[in-house]
Amino acid sequence: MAESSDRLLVERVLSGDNKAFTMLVLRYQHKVLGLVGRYVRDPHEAEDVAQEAFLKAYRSLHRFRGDSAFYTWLYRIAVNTAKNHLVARGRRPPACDVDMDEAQRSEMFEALRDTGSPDANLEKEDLQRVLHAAIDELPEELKTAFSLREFSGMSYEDITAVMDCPVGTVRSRIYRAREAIDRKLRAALDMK
Amino acid sequence: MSEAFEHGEQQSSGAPEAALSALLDGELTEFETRRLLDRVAEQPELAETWSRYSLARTVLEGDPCQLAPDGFSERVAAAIGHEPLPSRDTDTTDTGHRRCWVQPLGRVAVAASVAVAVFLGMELSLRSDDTGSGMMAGHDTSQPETGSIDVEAQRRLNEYIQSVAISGDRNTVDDAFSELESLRQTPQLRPVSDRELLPAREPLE
Repeated sequence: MAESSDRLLVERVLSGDNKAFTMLVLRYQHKVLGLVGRYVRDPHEAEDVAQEAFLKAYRSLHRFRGDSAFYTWLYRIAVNTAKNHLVARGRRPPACDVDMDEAQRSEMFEALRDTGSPDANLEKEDLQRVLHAAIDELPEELKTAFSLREFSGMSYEDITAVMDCPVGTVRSRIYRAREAIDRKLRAALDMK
Repeated sequence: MSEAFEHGEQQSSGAPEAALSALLDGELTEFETRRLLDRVAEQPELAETWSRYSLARTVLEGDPCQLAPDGFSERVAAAIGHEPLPSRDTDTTDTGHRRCWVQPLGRVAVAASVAVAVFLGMELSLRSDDTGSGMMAGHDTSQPETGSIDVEAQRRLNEYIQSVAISGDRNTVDDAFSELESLRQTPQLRPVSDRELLPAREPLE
C-alpha cells in the first residue's frame, strides 16, 4: 500500500517532476539518517553520507524496477554508501552483509537498535511516548480507524468493511487522527 | 466524539493535508498525487507536515530513526538540481547496454532492407526502359534474365546506403555492405527483370 505511493512518486520523478523526489527524501530522511548513523557515528559525517545516498538513489532511479519496496532498495544504497565511506576513511565497516532478505534485515535492525547513540535512542523513546499518548487520547472511532491502518496495515477498503462506513469516512477519520497526533508531535519537536 | 474532532468530514477530507495522509497510506490516485505535488510546491508547510507524518510512521514502526537537521531535504534538492533528470532513456543496465548497440544495428538492418528494395526497383525501371517495347511484342517470359548489374544503379545504391547509415560507425556501415553483398549472392535475391514480375499475357490476336 505505502509502496504503491512510493512507486507513484518514482514514476513522477522519472517523468521529470523533481518535487516527487523531494517527497521521497522527506519521507525517508529520518529513517536513512537513523540507518547511516549506525555506521557513521559523527552526526555531520552521517548527514553527508545520507545526502550522498539520496543523490546516488536519484542518479540510479531509472534502475528501480519496483520488484522490491522502494525503501528496501534505498536501504541497500544507504548501507553501501555508509560502508564505502568507512572504507574510504580507513575504517572497517560492520561485518553485516547488505544483501539480505527482509527477515535478516529485521534481525539486523534488532541488532542495530541498541547500538545507536544514547541521544538518538532517548529521542526515539521520547517520540514513541508522545505518539502513543496522542493515540490514547483519540476518540474511539478515530483511534480504531487509525490503528487498523497503522498497526494492522489494512487498506481503506478493508477498514470500510470492518467499521461499516463509507471509504470517504475512513479516509477522513484516519486523516483527523493523524492531524491530532501531528499537533502533539509538532509541540514535542518544538520543545527540542 | 469530542467537540475538537467534530469537523465536517467532507471538508476535512478535501484538505491537502488529508491528501498527504492518503498518500502516506498509498490510497491516492495518480491524478490526485500530481495535484498534491503542485500544492506542496505552492505551500512549503505541507512539505513539513508530510515530513512529520512520515516521522510518526517511522517511530511507530520502531525502525531506527534520527531527526533530520533543518534544511536537510533542501540541501538534497539543491544537489539533485545539478544532476541530469533521471529517465528510462539514460538506462545503463545490461538492457540499456544491449539497447545501445541493438538500436543502431536495427537502423542499419532497416536501411539495408530498404536499399535492397530500392535496388530491385531501380533495376526494374532501368530494364523496363530497355525492354518495354520488346515485351509488348510477345517476348518470351518463361526464362529469368540473369544479366550483369548496372554500374550506375550500383553507384546510386552505394550512395543511398551511406546516406541512411550515416548514424552508424564505420564498422557498422562496412558490415551492412558485407551483408548486402552476401544477400546479392543468394539465388533468392538475384537481379530480375520486369518481365519476370509481370503476369503472363494472353498472346495478341
